[in-house]
Amino acid sequence: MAKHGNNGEDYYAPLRRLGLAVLILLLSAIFLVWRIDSPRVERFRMAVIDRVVPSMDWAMAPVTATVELFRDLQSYRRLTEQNAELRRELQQMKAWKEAALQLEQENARLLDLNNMRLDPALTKISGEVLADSGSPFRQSVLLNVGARDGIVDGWATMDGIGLVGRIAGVGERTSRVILLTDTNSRVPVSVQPSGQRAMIVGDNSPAPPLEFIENSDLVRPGDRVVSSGDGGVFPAGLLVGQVAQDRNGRLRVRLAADYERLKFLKVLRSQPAEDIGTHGGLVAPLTSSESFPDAVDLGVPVDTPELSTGEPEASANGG
Amino acid sequence: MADSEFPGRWVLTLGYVAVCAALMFTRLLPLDSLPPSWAGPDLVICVTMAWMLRRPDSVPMVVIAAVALMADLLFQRPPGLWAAITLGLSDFLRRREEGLRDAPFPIEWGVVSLAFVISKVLYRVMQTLFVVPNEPLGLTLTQIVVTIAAYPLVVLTLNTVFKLRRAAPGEVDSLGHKR
Repeated sequence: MAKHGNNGEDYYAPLRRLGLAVLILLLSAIFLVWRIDSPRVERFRMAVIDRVVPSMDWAMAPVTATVELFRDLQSYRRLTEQNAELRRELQQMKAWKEAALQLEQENARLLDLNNMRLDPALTKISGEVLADSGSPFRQSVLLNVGARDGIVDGWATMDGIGLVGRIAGVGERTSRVILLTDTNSRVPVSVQPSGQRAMIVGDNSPAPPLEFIENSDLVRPGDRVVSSGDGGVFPAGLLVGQVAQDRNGRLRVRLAADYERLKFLKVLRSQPAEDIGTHGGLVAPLTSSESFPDAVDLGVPVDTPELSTGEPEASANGG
Repeated sequence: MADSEFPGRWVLTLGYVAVCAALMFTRLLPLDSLPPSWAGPDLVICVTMAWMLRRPDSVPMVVIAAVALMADLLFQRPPGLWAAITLGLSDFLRRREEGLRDAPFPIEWGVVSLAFVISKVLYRVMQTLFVVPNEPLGLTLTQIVVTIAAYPLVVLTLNTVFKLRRAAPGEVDSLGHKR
């Protein structure tokens, strides 16, 4: 009786133990159900977040703004250094601008020669970042656009410059974007001048590694990395970043998007990639009056921007 | 019911929920989207452990379970796993609370640290068993170290804000019940 001196405590102790067992069982059951039927529980999670996070938005916005204000104030102390740095950069930029103008003209000429059209089906929805994942182990952000704005799972998300991630989890008013740096993110890309296909495999580091390169000898640091559109989830040709080599000689991608300040993101409304259903028919001279529809089909140049390999992209669940 | 020196039980329960909600809120602020090279402390578990060793009567199991499950859902963790471990951890401390009352603070700190390390190991083992991808080991290690380092600060803060302190041996509340 030395330990449990209180008479009331003793009476409640077995009840408490029972309650503890029940609660732990319940929580474990939730975990098991999540493990077995992840999509349903993730939808539930998305619904909870959809309910909770936007209601915190009124507080989040000012707090975030204040913190950023203080960060900016800190940077005032290095004003002169920054000014010099900026001037130097401006000088470089002028050279680049000249190069860009020439390239633009050249590009326009080449596009004209090729008679190529950029995909007109790519329109976009802009959203603002509401919250991040809140965990150092998961790299994702929450956008303030959701199902009511027509967002669909799997759509590509960019900031002004480069690919940021893809939609994984859509609530009524919010949607989650899994960033390319998340350990669950895998995106098929092609490395530009050589056209090598590879995958960007997120590993929780700021510069995700390139894996499954067909021939890594042809890939050099500094090469442009764009999405390849393989798997039919992402449109092809979105800028992802530049190849870089880390200390261990591993090829990584320095992302073009500004991951330090993700504020406004655009979600690309991508159309499902068209499937080529017919296999090529027999091309033969027309002997009778009836024509081969397949042969006629083949005569038309295929105009789809990307050919689906029919292979779904490695699924990445949110958990 | 609440006397002047100690806030009442339900006030403290509300306080616990409010503190946890505020912690989660700050973690959700979209300040930095770069993957960190080190992990910050898990303050929710710190607060829970410190609270549990000071006023265990004011944090019922149901409240802890609800808060932890909410944290799991919001932070994109496997729902329920860390919540279950948190609940087990808190009950472990609840049962040790009387024994630790007159122990000096370093001993309390040691017990809490050990319990947290074991829970974290258990978490990783469970994730491995259920083939859930584990976090990078470096992040977990830094999180353990930083969380243990943050514990005294959390205790100090709770002490000043909520007047949370360990019950002295033989202390009674306003109704004369043993605390």
